[in-house]
Formats: sequence, C-alpha cells, structure tokens
Amino acid sequence: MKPIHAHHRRNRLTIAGAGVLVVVLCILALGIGRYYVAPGQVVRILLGQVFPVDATWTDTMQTVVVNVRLPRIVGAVLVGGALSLSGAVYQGVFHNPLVSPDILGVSSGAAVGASVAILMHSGAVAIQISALLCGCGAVALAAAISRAFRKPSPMTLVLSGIIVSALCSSLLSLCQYLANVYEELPNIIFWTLGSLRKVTGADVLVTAPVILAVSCVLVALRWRINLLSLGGKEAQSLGVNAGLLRIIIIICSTILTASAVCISGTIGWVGLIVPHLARLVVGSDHVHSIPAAVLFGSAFMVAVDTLARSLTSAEIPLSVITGFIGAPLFVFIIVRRRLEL
Amino acid sequence: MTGALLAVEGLSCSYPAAGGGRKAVFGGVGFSVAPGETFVLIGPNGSGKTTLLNCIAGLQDFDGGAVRVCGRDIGAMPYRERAKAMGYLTQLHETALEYTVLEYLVMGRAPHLGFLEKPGDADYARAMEVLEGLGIAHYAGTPMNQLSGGEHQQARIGRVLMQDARLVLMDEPTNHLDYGNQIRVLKRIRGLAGSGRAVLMTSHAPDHITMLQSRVGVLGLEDGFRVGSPSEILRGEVLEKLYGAKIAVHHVGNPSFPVCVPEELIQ
Repeated sequence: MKPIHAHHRRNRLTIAGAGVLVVVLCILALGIGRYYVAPGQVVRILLGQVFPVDATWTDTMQTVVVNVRLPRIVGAVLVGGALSLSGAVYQGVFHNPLVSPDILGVSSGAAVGASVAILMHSGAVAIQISALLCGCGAVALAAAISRAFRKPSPMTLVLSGIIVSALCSSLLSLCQYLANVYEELPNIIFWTLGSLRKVTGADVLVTAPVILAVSCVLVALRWRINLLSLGGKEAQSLGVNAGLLRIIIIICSTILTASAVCISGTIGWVGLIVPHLARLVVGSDHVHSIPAAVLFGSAFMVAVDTLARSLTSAEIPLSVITGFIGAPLFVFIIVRRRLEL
Repeated sequence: MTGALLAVEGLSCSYPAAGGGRKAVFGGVGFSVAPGETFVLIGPNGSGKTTLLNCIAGLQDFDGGAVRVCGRDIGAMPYRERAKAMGYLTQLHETALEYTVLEYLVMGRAPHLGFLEKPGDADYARAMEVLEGLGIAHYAGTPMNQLSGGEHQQARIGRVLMQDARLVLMDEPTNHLDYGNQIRVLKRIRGLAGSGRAVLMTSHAPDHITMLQSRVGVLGLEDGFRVGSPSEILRGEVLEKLYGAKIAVHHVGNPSFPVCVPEELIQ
C-alpha cells in the first residue's frame, strides 16, 4: 500500500505546486509590460481592491494593473485552463492521444462565425454570439455526419470533425478573400491566430461563470473518463451508460472550447500538448491528470500571453508563440513517453 | 432451471444483410449456467460466439428469446445492476492503455460507486489484495501497456474480480497467449468456478472442454444449437461437422480423458 499512497501524495503536491505557480505567474505578469510594476506592489494593489490597505501606489499603477492587465490575465487563465481541460477530456473520451479541442470543428466553426460577423460590421457582442453559435453548429454537423457511417463510433465522430474543419477553413479563406484589407482582414486574422489584446472586464465577467460551471462538471466526472477511455463496450460492461456520459462530456467540452474562442480567438497547440505534459508529470489516471492539465494550461497561457505582449513593441499572435513552443515540446513528449498510437 | 445464475431461452439474433433484409446469426439458443459451473461455447469463426456473449451482456439487441441473469430479465436491469451481477472480459486486443495495473483494477469497482464518487483507500487496498492473490502485486505500479500478454490477461481477470460479480463472461480468454499462460488462465477460470461463480467462455480449442470439465454449447451446427457434456461433444463426427476437418478423439491416461488430434496433420 505504501508506494501507492506515496504516489498519490506526490501527485497532490505537484497539483498544489502548479496552483501556486499559476498565482505567482499572474502576479509577475500583472507587473510586466511597458509600464513595470514590482511584484510586491502588485500584491498590495490587488489586496487594496478588497481590504483597506494604505495606498502606496499611484493612480496610474492601479489603472494599469487592475483595469488594463487584470482582465487580460484572468482571460489567459480561463482560456489556457479551458482549452487544456477540453483537450484532456477529448483525448480520454476518444482514447486517442492526437485529438485536441478543435478536433470536432468547434474552433474552426467559431472562427467562421466571428469572421462572418466581422464582414457584416457587427459589434463585439454579436461577434461573440455568432462565434459561439457557429462553433456549436459545426459540432452538431460533425455529429450528424458521423451518423452516416455504418457503425458510428468515437472515431467516426473525429473523422467527421476533420471533414467539418476542412469545410470551415475553406469558408474562412473565402471570408478573408472577401474582406476589406485595411479594416476587416486584420480583425479576422486576429480571430484565427488568437490574441488576448482586446479582452475587457465585461468579456471576462460574461464568460467566466460559464467556463467555471462547465469545468466543475468535468472535474467532478474525471474518474469516469478513465472508464470511458477503455472503450464503449468495456465501460458499459462496468455499469456505465457510456453513450450518455460521452454526450454529456462532449457537450461540456464544446461549450468550454467555444467560450475560450469567444475570449481569445482560436489558439493552436495548447489543448493538444498540455494534457500530454500533465500525463508525463502525474501519470495517466484522470483523477490527477485533469486538475494538472487545467493548472498547467493556465500557467502556460499566462506565460505565453506575457511573451506575446512584451517580447516586441508590437503584439505577437498567440498561435505563433504556442506553435514555436508546442511543436518541439510535442517531439520531446513523444521521445520521453515513447508514445504509442 | 432455478438457482441458475444465467438462463438463456430460445435466443435468436440477426444483423442487416448487405443486400437488404436480415441475416440470422443464430437461433433457438438455450442453456443455463449454475454457480460453480463452467460452460464453454465452441463453434467455427463467424458462428456468433462473440455476438451471443454480447447479447447476454446486454450490449447487443436480440430478435427473440430471453436472457435472465440471477433470475432477472437482462433488458429490465439498469446498467449498474448488470455490472454488479456480471463481469465481461472482451477479447484481448492490442491496447495502448497507460494506466497502471492498480489504477486499472480499481475501475472494476465502478458499479459499486456513485456517479460522482471516486475509488477510495478501501478500493485500492482491495485491489492490492486481488493482485497478491493473482501473484502480480509487484506490477501494481506498472503501466498496463508494458505487461506481457499473460500478465495483461491476469490483470483483466483481477478487474472482473473487483467487480464482485457472480457471473463471468469471457470471450476467448486464452487468445494470443503462449501455452504456459493459457494453462495459467485456465487454472484461474477453474478457480473462479471453484469460488462459486459461474463462468461462460468461448474457445477455439476443444481440449479446453476437457481441461475445464465443463458443459459445452455448440454454435454453427446445421441442425441448430446443441448443448452437451464433454463426452457427447468431443467426438470425431461432431468436430468434423463443426470445423470441416478430420479430427480423431483419443482417450488417454487413467482415468482416461479425451484428446483431440487433427488426423490430416498427424499420421
């Protein structure tokens, strides 16, 4: 029994450590930027929002930290956690290590929705709603196509998702071709490459409750994902209503991905590699790998976003950085874990 | 038959044929398995052995007949109740499961845990006991995909033991195993029956019937499903009809037991 308890305890410590890392990175990120604020000062400013603390900071500092950077960093925490969580869940449910949150066409559908709304000169809220609807529509279409197979299975759903994604990327290209080069095209590019630059406090307040609620459901069900990953037949023979559970989990993950896309546009690689990284560190049992993936994802996204806005004077799109980090990291993970397909 | 853990009556199953209509897999299948008993299903490839197990496990719809597990109709049992009564070892496939053996075993507790419940210390302790009983406790922390075929199958049997089910279905449990591991798995199956469970398994090796001293169900004969004792089924004429090959059954040893010998190969 001893080694098992030690194993569990070590994983719990790792997960707690990852939580601390997220908080530390957030505090550092709140200070980093063209206008630097020291970490100690950041903590005092944050505490000052809730508790009566003697103000040792200037109004400019407070504006930069609380009004400018805080929504963006909370957005990064939410987006990173949401994408990694849905990636980890999809990889478990489809027992395939190569699937990611956008595999069912959610992200590409949402990007099409956003692009169409941008072409019609809609406001920010309309763009988000359009993104959400088209993202969910794409998944529904993928699910409908997968029913055309003689034996619908998780893998036919993945294949259908690839078909829908291909259709969406054509639509996206069409939108870009039709777009006005000076006004609309940069906005569409923004959606497809991902950025947290335009995140506002209002965005976060609208999206955060949805992401948190859905995440709670998935985290609560995480041991059951172990059962599903054995395959539908095995899961059912263990007393699990595999079909129903799979649908609940796919719906939750779709909402999660679509909400993340609403905040930041589509960001590649995070949902694919962070779950692998989590399993590398804490093992495959979803009881540990799911919380680890959420926290690693949040930490990763805060770090990437901070690089995106502070490496150069102009903003670098997030997918550019995640790609540069993600591709070599994935090769490293393949080598380390001797990944099997 | 009262007291039977499994009763199958007049079961028939078909699947949609390529040119429209339905093609029958089997019909009129009836038998029962009592506690402490092993029952072996034999039949050529495509005779519906796996389909029959799937029907009994409630994983596949059947056209007619009835399946009763512990006296209850399978269709009327919720998934969780089915899993408490019956464990199912599907055919051993190449799997890339990365869970450790211990994590894998506690999954067998699923039917006994609530929807949002996770296995607790007692479940892990129980899994360690089962692993010790199977002689693979030293693999507790090893990922499933690093086990050899024989150890993998032992771990799967461990998962069924964790389920506390009195009826155990096994689809070709000795498939892909070397001879020594086949013997070990068959000993384990005898042990399961010896502990009061009922075991229903499929096999491609008629000699398994001898080794397990089990009753036999034969699928794929032209005159329909047939149930018999080892001495009734292990006969040259029955096996030749079934497998389309000349098979002699010799009786050796004292007390004597039947051994199947493919005549065309051994002159």
